[in-house]
Parts: sequence; C-alpha cells; structure tokens
Amino acid sequence: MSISANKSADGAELTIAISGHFDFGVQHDFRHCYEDSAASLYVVDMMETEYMDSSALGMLLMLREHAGGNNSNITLRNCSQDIKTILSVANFQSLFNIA
Amino acid sequence: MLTANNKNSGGGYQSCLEDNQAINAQTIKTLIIKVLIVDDDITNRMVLQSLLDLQGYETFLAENGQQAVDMFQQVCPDLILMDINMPVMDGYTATSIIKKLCVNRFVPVIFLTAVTEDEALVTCINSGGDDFLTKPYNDIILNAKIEALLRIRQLYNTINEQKNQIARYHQRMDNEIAVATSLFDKILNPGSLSRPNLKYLLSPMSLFNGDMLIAAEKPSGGLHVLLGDFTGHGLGAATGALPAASVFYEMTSKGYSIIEIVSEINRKLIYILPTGMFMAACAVDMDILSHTVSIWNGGIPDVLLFNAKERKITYRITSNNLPLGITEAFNLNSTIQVFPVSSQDKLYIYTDGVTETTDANNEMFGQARLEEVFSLTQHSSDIFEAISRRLAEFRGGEDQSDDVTLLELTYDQDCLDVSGQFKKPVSMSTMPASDWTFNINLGADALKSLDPLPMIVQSIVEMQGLKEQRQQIYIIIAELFSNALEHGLLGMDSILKKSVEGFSGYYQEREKRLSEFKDGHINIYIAHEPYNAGGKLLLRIEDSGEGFDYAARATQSTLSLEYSGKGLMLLQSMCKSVNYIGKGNIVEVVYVW
Repeated sequence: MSISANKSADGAELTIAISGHFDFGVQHDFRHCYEDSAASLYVVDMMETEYMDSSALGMLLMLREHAGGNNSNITLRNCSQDIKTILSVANFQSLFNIA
Repeated sequence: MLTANNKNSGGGYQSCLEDNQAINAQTIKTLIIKVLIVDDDITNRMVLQSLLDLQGYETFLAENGQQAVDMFQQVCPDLILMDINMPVMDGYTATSIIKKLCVNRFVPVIFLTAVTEDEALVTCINSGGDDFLTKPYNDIILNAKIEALLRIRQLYNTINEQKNQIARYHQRMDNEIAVATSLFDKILNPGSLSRPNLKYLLSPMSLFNGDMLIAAEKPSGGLHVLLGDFTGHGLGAATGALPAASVFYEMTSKGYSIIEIVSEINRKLIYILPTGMFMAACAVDMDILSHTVSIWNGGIPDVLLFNAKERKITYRITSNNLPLGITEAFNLNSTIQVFPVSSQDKLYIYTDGVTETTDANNEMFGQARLEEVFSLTQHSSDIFEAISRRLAEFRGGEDQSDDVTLLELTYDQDCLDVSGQFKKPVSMSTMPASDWTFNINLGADALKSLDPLPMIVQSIVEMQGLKEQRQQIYIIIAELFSNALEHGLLGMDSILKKSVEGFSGYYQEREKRLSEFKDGHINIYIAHEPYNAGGKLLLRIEDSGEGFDYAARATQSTLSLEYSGKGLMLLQSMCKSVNYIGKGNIVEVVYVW
C-alpha cells in the first residue's frame, strides 16, 4: 500500500519508503517491513511522506530497538520541512541520522 | 407420550454429561422438544400426537385458537402446529397473538391446512406463520419441516444468546470505564489546578486523556507544573500518567528540584512504557524566592513567555530534549532554561493537539495563527480566552483528532507565595518537643552531585512531627544553603542577576564554577530543644569560604540588596533570630514553633 521495503543486494541495507500518511494506520505494514531483516543499516525514505504524527515517532523508536538500540544506524532521508520540525521538537536528531 | 424420556432412561443422559466433548451435540437431542398441536378435529389431533410421540417430542393439545394462546403461555412450547378454521378463535388470529407474545424468542408456527389457494397460504405467512403443510399430511414431509424449523430456532437462540452476552459485556465495560475515569480524575486532578494564576483548557479526544496537566505547590512557595503528552490516545496513553503524577506530587512535596523530578519520571517511564511509547513533556518551576521561571521542554511545541507590558512574546522556549521514557543517556541538567520574571509575565504551554487542530479543509491551525492572537488581543488578560475561542472557531464542526491542552500561567507573587502569609500553623507538632542534634558535612564531591535539602528537611519534619512547619523550615534551609554554596564557596555576585542576560549568565556561571570546584565544604549543624509550649530549632551553616563583611552590609542601602537582600529579609521575618558569626562564613538562625 503506502509502505515499501527495498533490500540492497548484499542484504546489509534496508530502505523503507513511506508514502502518504505515516501514522498509526500503517503500523502493521511498517513493522512487517523490518521484523525479519538482519540489515545493519536502515534508511527510512520520506520523500513521499505527507504527514507524520507522534505514533510514527513511536514506530521509529521500535525500528531503532530492532536495529540495535544505541548501536543502531538509521537514516531518515528526504524529510520535508514539516517533518523535520516534528522530528526536531522531539529531539530525534540525537537518535537518528536526519538527512 | 414421553418417549424421549424412555429413550434416555438407559443412562444416555448421564453419560453425555460426563463427556464434556460431546455435551453440545448431545444435549440438543436429549432436551425434550415441546410441540403444541392446535386442531378442532380430535382425529387430526390424535394422528399428529402419535406421529410426534414416535419422534420423541413432548406434545400438548389445544382445540381452538384461544386454548392455544392460553396453553402457549403455560407450557412455552418450542414449536406449534396450527389448524386454520376453528371455533372461538381461528388459527390466523391465534398465531398473530402468539407471535406478539414472543419477545426475543422464536417459536416456529406451521399451518396445517386443507386449503390450497395461493391467497390463503399467503395469509398464513402474513399472520406470522413460518411454514405451511397441506392436508392430508405426508409424515416424512412433516418431520422434515419440523426438523428444519427447529434448526432455525436453534440458530436464532444462539444468536440471541450472543447478542445478550455482548450487551452484558458492554454494560460491564461501561461500568468499568466509569470507575476508571473517576479514579483517573481523582489521582490526576486533586484540585491542584484551581488557582487564580492558572488558566487551562483540557480537551481529551476520547474518554481518557493522553495529555496530562498537573501542578503542585513547592514547600518553599511557588509552583511546579507538568504538562505531558503521551503517544497515542485513550486508556493506553492515560495509563502512564498515573506513575508520572505520583512521582511529581510526592517529590514536589518533599522539596526536590524540578530537574530531579523530571529525571525520576523519565526513569520510571523507561521502565514501564513499551518501546515506541513515550511522554513529550514540559516541566515548569515558578520560584518566588529568586523570581524566576525554569522551563524544561522535551518534545512539546515552543513554550511562549509573553510580557504584558511590552505586549510581545519575549522568549520562546524550544524543545531541546528527547521526550521522557525513551533513554536515560542524556543530561537533563544542562537543558533547563531559566528566566527572570515579574507579574507582567505570562507563560503559554500547549500540546501539538492545538497547532495540529484541523479545519474542514484539513488545514492545520499552526503556529502562526496561534501567535497572531497575541498581537490581535487588546488586553493581555483576554489572551487565553481569545486563543480558546479562535481554536474552536477554526475547528468548526470537525471532529477532534488529538487531545488538546492549553495552559496559561501568570507569575503572580501573591498567588504563588503561600509561604508569604506566614500563617501560624494550626495544629502543632504531633510529638512532644525533645532534645536532639545532628550534623552533616558536605565535601566538594557531595556538593556537586547531590541536593541534600529534601533529605535534611524530611529528617527534621519526621524527628519532630513538624508537618505543618515543613514549608517554612524548607525555605529557611534552602535560603541558607544556597547562600553558603553560591556566595560563600563559589564567590558568585548577586548583582549579576539584575539583568536578563546576567540572569541566565548567573546560572551558567554557577554551573561552570560548581563543576570546577575542588576544595571546600559546607557544614550543617541542627539542634532542637523544648521551648515554651513548643520547641526551638537552631540551624548553623558554616562554609569554608572567605566570608563577608556583614557589619558593613547591614548599613548598606536596601537598594543594592534588591536580589540578595530579599532572602535575608525573608529569613528575618520567619526566624526568631538571624546572626552572622566569625568572618561571615557562619550563619546561625533560630526558628521557634
């Protein structure tokens, strides 16, 4: 639907792209993308993301835990200005690479 | 007649009860089905009766419609075989009466008729009949129809039972929710928000609020306020509010600083909240001793400090922390922001539910519309109402999509300064006054890492049962201790606090000097003895610093003492005596209760 996942050839990098609303409605799909993945590098591509809410922040934290918590390497890519604001209000730049 | 009983007398009924697996399938057969036969012709009745007895049904007989209605009420049959033309009352009338009597119950009626015209058959169905059989009967067809209708009846009963179960479940849920909401309300809002300098709007999206707003008076006067916004809405989101609130109330009453409270709530939430759930929070300390407001913001939209005299937003406190409940690995202390305030200052705090309120076109209210209200409102006392009104107009008839919370806090010395009333405590100590002393010596490392005040005050209060005096004792010790630390040991100059820049500078400098601080100590000696009807508390605080020329200070004009002198005046008004000793590095006060 609005979430798609793409694994690099060597399986080390997983890119999850979210289009439309990033909120509670896509929780299941989002988790499904990474739960079986053993990638060491994660990218969440928000090029097509129109909106995100606090439950999306929660979902990112769950991805972070899956990816190794403090040892995780997750990049949030192509964030719009609105989304950057939401991320920075929550100070998420200290937990994720925001590009 | 009761062949069904005969069939089961061989112990079949017993054995099926013992066998749980088979119980459902078996009980349907072993339950005796009651069939009411209604016919004015005795031969017809007898034929049907013997036929049904053979099949194991229990039969009842009625000779006309009226008897059928009476008997229906007496024996509650499971199925009715109904003739049409009968004296007293015909089958159509009896059927429609019986069907009306069946509330939440399905009793199939099969018409037995000699007529074959379509119209008569349609009348059978219209009067409430479920099927019909034309005379003369075919045994096999009759049995098949009875079986089929009983199956439908079984289905109906099952659905009906499930419907009742759901209704009962709903009823129970409603009751439980009512109990839970009243519990939440009591724990979260024990009247702590009703004070003249605080206006608030709490608009939960569902029954339970995922936003929480609590306030509590500090023992030293002034106020702690916490606004929290949990991820999500409803009961799940509201659950985390209970432990957060209890930590907040408990620690505030014991005199802990807002930063220590926030840290403790953070620890507690990390432990209890599942990953992905957290609390964005803003904590405020309004302090009447230093005339400051300290604000810690983790994930809440910009807090606005508005000055009524200048008619503008003078400061914007942007979130510079992670929300609470995510990680312990961050330094809360360095991220609190301190501002000097006067009675002209108002603080506006709101959750993202305010800025993200949407209108009919799905457009968001936004920061700009919110701040526009400040410049458009004539009197600063109307701002809160103006924002609430503007927000309601904007949303129009649209559904609320998030919990909405808005708070206005005015720095009002009179409202905040409950200690300023210096009311003589109504009830005295719960224990008779006794003799005791204790002494605490704090070295450099201890001074850097811990706040000893809550522990010391708690000890005094508990040793002597001085609950009512806690607030005054706290103020006295806090004032003496911070003087000894900031002026005695760190050599800070109060004049720094006079300007706004100086103010935040003062606290930065204090942090810096404290972290570099190596040698020195503060000694706190506390002695208590009976005095008149109550007791006398002696507090002696000695620091290893240079001291100061207190004799010269006493003759200085009060002007230059505006900040530092306030504390001294406060002490003098609360204590029996305040004396500097030695080179000014020892202060001794006597408090009498």
